[in-house]
Amino acid sequence: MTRRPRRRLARHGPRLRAGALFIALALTALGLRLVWLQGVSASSYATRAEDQRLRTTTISAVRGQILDRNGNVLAQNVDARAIYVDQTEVSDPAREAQVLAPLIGVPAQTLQPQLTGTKRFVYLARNVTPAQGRAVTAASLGGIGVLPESHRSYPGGDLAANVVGFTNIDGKGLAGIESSFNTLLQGTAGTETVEVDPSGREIPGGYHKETKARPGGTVQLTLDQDIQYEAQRAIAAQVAATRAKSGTVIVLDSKTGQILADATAPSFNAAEPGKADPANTGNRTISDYYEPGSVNKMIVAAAALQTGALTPNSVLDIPSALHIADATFHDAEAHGDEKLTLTGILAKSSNIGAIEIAQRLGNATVDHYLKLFGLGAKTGIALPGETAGVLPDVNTWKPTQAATIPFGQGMDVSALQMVAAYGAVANGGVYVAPRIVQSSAGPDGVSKPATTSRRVMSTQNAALLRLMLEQVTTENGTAPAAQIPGYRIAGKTGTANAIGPDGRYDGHYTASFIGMAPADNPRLVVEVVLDHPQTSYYGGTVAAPVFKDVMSFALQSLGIPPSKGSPSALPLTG
Amino acid sequence: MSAGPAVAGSVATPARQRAITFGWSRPRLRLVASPGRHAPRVPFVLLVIALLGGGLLGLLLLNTQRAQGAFTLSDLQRHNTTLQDQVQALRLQVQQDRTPAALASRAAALGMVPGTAPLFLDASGKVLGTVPDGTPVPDAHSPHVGNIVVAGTAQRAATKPASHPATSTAAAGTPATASPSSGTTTAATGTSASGTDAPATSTGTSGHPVPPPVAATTPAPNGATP
Repeated sequence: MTRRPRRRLARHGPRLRAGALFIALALTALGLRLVWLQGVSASSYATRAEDQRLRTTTISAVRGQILDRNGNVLAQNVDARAIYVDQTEVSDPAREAQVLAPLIGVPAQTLQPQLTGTKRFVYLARNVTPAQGRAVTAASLGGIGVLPESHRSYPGGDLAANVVGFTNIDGKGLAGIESSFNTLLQGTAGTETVEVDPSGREIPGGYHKETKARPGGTVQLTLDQDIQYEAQRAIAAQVAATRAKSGTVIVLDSKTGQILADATAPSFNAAEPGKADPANTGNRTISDYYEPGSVNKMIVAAAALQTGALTPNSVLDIPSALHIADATFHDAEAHGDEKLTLTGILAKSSNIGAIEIAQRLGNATVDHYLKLFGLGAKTGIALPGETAGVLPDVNTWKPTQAATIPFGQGMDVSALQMVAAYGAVANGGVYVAPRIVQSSAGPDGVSKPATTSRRVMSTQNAALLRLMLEQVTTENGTAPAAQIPGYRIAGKTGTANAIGPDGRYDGHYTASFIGMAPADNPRLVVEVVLDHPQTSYYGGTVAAPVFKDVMSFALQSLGIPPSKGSPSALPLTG
Repeated sequence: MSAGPAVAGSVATPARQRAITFGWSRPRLRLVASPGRHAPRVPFVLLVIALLGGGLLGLLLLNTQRAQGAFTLSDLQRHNTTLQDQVQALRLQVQQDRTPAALASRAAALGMVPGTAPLFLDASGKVLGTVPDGTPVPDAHSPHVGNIVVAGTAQRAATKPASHPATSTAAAGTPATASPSSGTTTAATGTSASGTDAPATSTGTSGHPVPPPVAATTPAPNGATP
């Protein structure tokens, strides 16, 4: 009776075992898979799941403003809209073009081909106003969409454009202050992370994390927009009138070292930097260097006074020509042998006189004073691309170089270096490093660049030198055109042979004038440089009138009272 | 042993009595319970219905209110955005209009010309600066007027009429076509100026032409300038 079941078991045994084995194997496989999913690659799957559920968007920070010294806006960000089209959604391109054209100010003929096609995303217009964007939305045209964007606006157009610079389409500063203060101006972008459903809608009450964007800081410049405007107007007009290659003007507050105007022509419109000639988008006053010519004689004269080698009335014999090594030097105007005082050498801008002064001082002293007045080194201004100029090492000066450097040939300076050097004379012998940024306000608070200054000559000698430089603007000097009624003007002309592209003098000139007013108590220094003027090349003829216009305007604008009394005449000849 | 049955008998008697008592009291319990069970059911159901209905209605009202609020919110937000856009557009317009280039061109369109060097009065009444001879008059409708800037402390301007010597000096450079309002300065050298000749303490110009930067503010009468 017990055999039958045993026999039945024996018959089904292999099947059961096979089944059990199969189940065991299947369970093992599942178990391994489970360990694989949950143990080994768990984190990667969790991340992928999170990626599907969470959506992170970047909140862009608003770029900061650039202001002039009185808080007028030179650069700022404004809300704007971009209009785009999904061409596959447009049913009637002709009709939509007609409706859209007046709303965004683009001709219908231009729009229609842009609306036709199979592209899913085409920009129709950028930087349109939010009101225009709303009008487009209200028109509810198929396939037309509106996107918010931020747009860099320069209300003044070309006003101070060469100082302020510009940004690219992504809002990164590429030139000027926009570039040198890019980190401060751009701020810090924030992020927003939300949980979304498969169709991309935010799940209410789901995960939500927001890091707020920190808006960019503000940079306040030392520029005065009115004086800047007048400087740009005057230099642009003179560059056109003299058919010069370019021109620059700097207005310096000599007491503080602050730059009130920094103009260059030709300039460009900051709103459309892409359309500008790249040669015009930089800042020539800082990045271009040129041979200064006779304006350099002021430093040699300062050295002569300060070392006690000469007094303003010391008389020197000036021959008609001077032979040094294999070169012969003349003055700009031919003359016989004459006797000029130190003052006369400046007033008449005698090259031979400058050489003779330098010979009395020695190369080392000349080099020392050139460096003391800031030549051959960067001023440290907060703008990109500053040049240090070229001041050859004094130990390598050849005899001809030692002769030309006193009258500003065979060495290079930037316009900024030279105006700062004259600033030292205006400021009673104290050199103040020029500044163009008044303050910058960022997340770490407001910072003001420190003023660095050093004494280069005594107050008395600076006053004497100004008196000597006043003789330059008399009828006997080289720049009577710089006179401003009521104000005493001290200054110096420069007419220098210019180096051509091949590194040789190409027969063209750099004409300049640097002057200060009122000479009895200077407040302002104005420098005018014209490169390759065609009508006349004398600094006293082409640069001095621009000086007069800009200086008059700046004096009026700042309410600086005229000088009391007239300058005492110093003898020019012995 | 006789106590045994007696005890047993006395034990049996209460048991019997309990049985009797039980059988007697049963109908009385039934009578009391029946009216108590039926009476509260209707109000309770009504109460529940009322609560449910009330809750539903409240929820409906709240939802409606919330939807209404959402509409108002989005309306106001849209209005707010529009106003912000308007503010930005107007601010841009103002910024554009106050750029030196825009002011210069508008002033030129009005026939104005750049001003000549201003005259300064110092505390002693001395005129600083010079009036250019034959000050140009570009147009009969736009008299060109020399500016006067007062150096020193300006006071009692209101009590000093145009007969002040400094003012008449300035008027010498003023074309005859100049209207009084545009040709005279309102500031006079202060009699209280106590010998200070600090330069350029205030600018008092009227009819100052283009470009605009000299602060064309007239010193307030009796107002001491710093």
